[in-house]
Formats: sequence, structure tokens, C-alpha cells
Amino acid sequence: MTKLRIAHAPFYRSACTIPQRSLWIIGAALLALVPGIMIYGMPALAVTAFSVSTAMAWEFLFCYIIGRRNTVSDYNSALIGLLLAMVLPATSPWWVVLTGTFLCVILGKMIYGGMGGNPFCPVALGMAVLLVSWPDYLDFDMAYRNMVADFDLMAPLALVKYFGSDLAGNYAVSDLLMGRQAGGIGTVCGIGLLAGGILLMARGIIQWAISLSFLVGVAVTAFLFQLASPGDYAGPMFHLLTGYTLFGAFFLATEDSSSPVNTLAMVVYGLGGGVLTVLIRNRGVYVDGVIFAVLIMNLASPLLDRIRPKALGA
Amino acid sequence: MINNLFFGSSALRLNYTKLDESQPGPVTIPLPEKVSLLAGCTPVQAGLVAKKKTLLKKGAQVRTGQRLRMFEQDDLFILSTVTGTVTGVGLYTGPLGRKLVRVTVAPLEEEVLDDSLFEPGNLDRETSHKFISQLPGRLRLLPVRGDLPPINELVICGGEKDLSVISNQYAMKHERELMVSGIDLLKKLSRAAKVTVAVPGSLDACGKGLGDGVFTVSEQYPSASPRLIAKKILGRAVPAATPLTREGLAFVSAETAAALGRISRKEQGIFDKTLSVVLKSGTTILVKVRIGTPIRHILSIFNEKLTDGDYLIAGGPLTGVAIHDPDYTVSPYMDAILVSAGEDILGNSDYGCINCGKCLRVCPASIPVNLLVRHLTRRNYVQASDHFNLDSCLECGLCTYICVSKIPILQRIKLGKMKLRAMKQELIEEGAA
Repeated sequence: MTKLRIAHAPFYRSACTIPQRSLWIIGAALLALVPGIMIYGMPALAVTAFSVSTAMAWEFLFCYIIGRRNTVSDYNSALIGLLLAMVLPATSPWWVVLTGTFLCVILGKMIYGGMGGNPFCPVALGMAVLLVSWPDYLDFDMAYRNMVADFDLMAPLALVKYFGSDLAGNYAVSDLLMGRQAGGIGTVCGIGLLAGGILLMARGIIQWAISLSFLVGVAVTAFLFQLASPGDYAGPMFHLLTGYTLFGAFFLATEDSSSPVNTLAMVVYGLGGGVLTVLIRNRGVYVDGVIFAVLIMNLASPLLDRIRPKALGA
Repeated sequence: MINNLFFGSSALRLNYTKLDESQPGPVTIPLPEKVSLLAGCTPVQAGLVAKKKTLLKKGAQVRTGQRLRMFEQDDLFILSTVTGTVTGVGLYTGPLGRKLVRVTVAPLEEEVLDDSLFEPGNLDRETSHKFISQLPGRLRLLPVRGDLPPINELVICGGEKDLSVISNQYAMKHERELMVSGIDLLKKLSRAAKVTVAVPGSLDACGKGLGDGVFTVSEQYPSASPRLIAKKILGRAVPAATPLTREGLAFVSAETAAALGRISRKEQGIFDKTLSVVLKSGTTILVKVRIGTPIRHILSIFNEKLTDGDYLIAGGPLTGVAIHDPDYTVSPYMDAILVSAGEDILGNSDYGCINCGKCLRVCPASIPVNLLVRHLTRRNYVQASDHFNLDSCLECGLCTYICVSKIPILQRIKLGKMKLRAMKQELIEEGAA
């Protein structure tokens, strides 16, 4: 007698899987990371390689210790490692990277049961802990003090924050777009980030509602601040192209499990993140506010997701 | 497995399979040596069958369309789809473990239509439903009980239940005359004031003149679902827990209307079901086959061999049921038979929901699927129903189709609904006791 196989409907399924999704985001991130590595050279490559490998190692180790099926092959930890490397300065010491990937992968993701369970964006969480723990190593002016480059290695956001908005004029938009500024390895090349973000939005992997409203939030708030006091605060273009703004809008705020899923909720979430970013930059103690803004909006995400359309016949 | 298009938003669009005019007409499958008629039964009825206490006995002569009454105690009847000799009455375990009564009949060459077929006018509403539900066709939502409100509007569905299926479109296109007579008969049976024909845009012309109005359904799956049509017709959504018939709406598929037309014109072929057969090679063949024919018989006509590990799917690819037995027979609502070696069928993964949100963007009922599936996985069925719209689900399968984590969402939804029904039944029984 023939033994037929039994399964449950639907028998047609979309071919998109978790590894594929992770690889697409990695590919999009590389568009910004590769120019960054070309700008900062070997140290940047070393940080990236170490970050990706240790992130995968942490996940492997964690799965091994708690006796769970190994999930390294879904490339999500590789993605987390890659994204962490992108926000770190090229000169980060190895132990900062090692701690960072531990925080991101274990504290940010694995202890909640793996992908989909984490209430915070893992990279933002890990980076936030690093930022408050070793501010000196993550301050770009400190990190790049011994580095030589053919462009100004003063971090734009710090310069403007401490010395007034006149200095924003030192940075041409084209320079900022091409990555000729001090910043994280993968967050300086605006063109690469924009290309990666547009690619992911077109593929439907990240949601335009989050990314665009985040950028709008940043631009509008920066514009209002500039309107109030042009001498103290830089304009929207400067805020959009410096620091982690583009990276945050396309890669941090859009992290699946920590962001809302309904369109209106996503818009509110993105706008909130954008507004908080500029608030922290202009009025807070930290030079860049993206990491903290994303974390705060992550907190609000379950609440925001209650803004949802009425179900059929409900 | 369907590869996504490059652009994410267009990957969410699945269109119904259209009737291809260039394809040859349906292949008529000759009658098999043995026809099996199946009917769902209660545990009590199953007990009676096991003890051989049925009214119908082996050796009885039956005519096509004859009502085979099974038990003294109740009025369960099976319509015989052939003329011949009963060779056995027994129990059969169908898909999903359902207990069924099986009557096997050896058909004769010469076919005699039973007289009772032509007197459906004197049916009450309850038996007319039982009668119509044994005619070919997928969607039949007629009021079952007499205490329900009268039918205001009868909707004839020219759209399909699933992809790969063209049974109703075939009836709309090629059996129009029969449908006209069938709709007349249905009007008399249901006493509906108005008849609307719901058809996909490409068949608009065929729908004209059949009823009082034509309602165009989009080509996009699952817009031909009765609840979505009801929402458009009534201008408001019918509450999820309310049957559509309570709102005065009755849905009958075009194929059923055509079968009723055959009855009113006393034509042969009342129990011939039009269905699509998709073979392993991917070719689709439209066939006309008598209800009760074993699937094995149909496949043997096309020289399709089943081997270990194959899938045999009754119904379309998104809502069908996997069959464990090639001897399972064609039922009145089996619109397609899919045979697959399984290379294309992606299994489930053990990942949890990653909250990507694709499911709720594709859901036609706007259910928060990402939250619902978490509760269903943890078996919080009551909460799933109270706060996360479990009852609103149309069971179209799109969320499961699109799921990145490959979670069996549809299966969990169906399980959740089943468990809730069982819980309610228990409460009722407790209350009665």
C-alpha cells in the first residue's frame, strides 16, 4: 500500500525564509559598510570580522549550553554582529567588541527565547550599555585622535553641540553623503545607507512607515529647533546626515520584534523616535540620541500596537 | 513553494486561477467498478452502523438520485449518485480522523433517475438544505433550521473557493441555460426576494440576466469569500459569531445552481462534478466525474502513479486537505485534486513568530495575526477569541502562505476554533445536566 504524506494547508508557501531575510539585510548593510571599511582601513575590517564572528560564537555557545537546537545558521547573530560593528568606531579595542556582541546576542536576544521574543532592538541595547559603560572608547573624537585622514576627523555632532551651529557649515552635504566624516564604521556613508534602506523597503523587508516617519521626525524637530535658535542648533539636513540617523531609521528602528506592525502605529513609532533623537542631541547630555530614542520607542511599541484596525465582524 | 517577486508589496497578491478558454473541455471519467458514498455521522450513528442496524442493506437495488435512508431513529439520508446494487455499508475514517458512513454501490450501465428527485418543491427548509448539500458545488450556505429568519437575498457565487479551481467559472460560462432553470428552482425553494450573482470581473457578461443584479468580485484571492461578499452587499460587516444566514443571506455556488437546473430539466449528469486535477508534472486537467468515484480511478485514467511520500490533496492549494488514502472518493465539494511529489511543499519550522508583520498586512479580515498566533501557541484559546479576533478568521490561509517563520498558523487557528466549540458544547451539556 502506498504511504501518502499528510500535511496541513496551505500547501503553497512563500519561499521567503528567516535565513534569506537575514542575508538580504546583511547585503543591504554591506552597501554602507564596505565604503566605511574603505575609508577607515584595516582596523575597521578587523572590528567587523571580530564582531561578526564573536556574535555567532556567543549564539552557538548559548544554544550549546542550554541544549537548544543551534540557530546560528539563520544568520541572525551574524547580522547583529555586523550591525554592531557598523556603529562602533574603527579603533574599538577587542574587548569592547567582545562585550558588545555578548550584550547584543545574549542579553538582547537569546535570553528572551531567540528571534521574535526580544522587546528591544538587540544592537541598540548592546550599544546603549557600551555607551554608558565606556564613553571614552565610543567617543569618536577620542577614538580617532591618533588617526590621520584627508578629511576633518572631528565628529560633526559633537562639534556642533559644543561649539555652536556655525560649524555645521564646515561639512558639505556631499562629504557627509560620501562618508567623509568621523563616525561609526558603517554609519558614515549616507549614500550607502540610503541605497540599502531603499533596497530593503522595496523588498518589503523593512517598513517604509517606520523609516520615513523616523526621518521626518528628525527633520521636523531639527527644523523647529533651528527656527527657535539658529545660533545654537543645526538644521534638518545636518541632523539627517550625521551620527546614526540614517542607520537608525533603516536598520535599528525597523528591527522586527521590537517595532510595531500596524501602519498607523508604525508612523507614530517612527515619528516619536525621530523627535526623541533630536531632543536628546540638542538638549540631552549625549552627543547622539538615536540609540536611546530607539530603545525608548521599543518600550512604547507594544502599547502603540494597540492602535489597530477593527477586525472583520469584530 | 512560490518564489517571491522582487518587490515586497506585489508578492502579497495572489490571483484566482482563470478559466482558460483555449483549453479543451472537461474529460469525462467513465464510471468505476465501485462507487463509495460518504456521509458524516454522529458517534451514536457510527455505533448503529457497526452493529449493522441500518435500514439500507447489502444487495439493495438503488436508482440515481434515490434517498438512501440509513436509520430508523433519524432522517439521515445519502443521495445515491448511480444506479446499481449496494455492495456494502460500513464505517470509514476520513481525513482528519472524521468518522464517516460509507455505502459502496456497484453501478449498472443503464441509469434510471429516481422520481423523488423531481419533487423538491415540497421540501421543507431543513431537508432542502440536506438535499442541496449533496449536489455538486462548494459553497452552499442555506439556512439549516426553520427558526432562522427568511432569506432576503440569494447570492449565486461564480467565484471560487481557492486557487487552481475553476468549477464555478465553468458553470457560469458553459452551463448558463441550466443555471437559469436552477436559479428559478432555488427561488421557489428559498422564497428569496432577490437574486444577486457574484462573479469575477472576467465573467461579468455571463452574470448578466441570471439574477436581479450582478456583483463583481475582484480577481484577488480571497475576495470571493462569502463573508467579504456579504460585507460589500450589506454595507457592513456581519459580526464574526453570527452565521450569514441570520442576516437573511444565502449563498449557493454556480455549480450547484447548474445541478439544480439539470434536476428541473430532468437531464442526466446531475451528480457529475467538475473538478481540476493537477498532476505531478504540473499539468492541469479539467474533468467531469461522478460523485463517489475513488481518486485512484481518476488518476489511473491519466496514468499517474502514486509512490511513497507523495501528497494527495483534495481541494485547492491554500485550503485543501491532505488525503491519506487513494481510495477516498470524490465528494460534492471537492473542487480540485492535487498530486505532488512534495519537492515544492515547504514544511513548518520550529521558529517562533519573529513579528515581521507580513501576516497581518495580508489578512483580509484585519486580524492581529502576530499576537493571535502567540496566544494560540500557548493554548490561550479563550483569550485568543475574546481579544485577538480568532472568530473573524476566514481560513483563507494567506497568513500561513506568507509566514517567514513557517508557522502552521492556519492549523493552529482551526485547532483553536475546534477546541472552543468543544468547550462551549461541554458548558451546554453541563448546564443541561
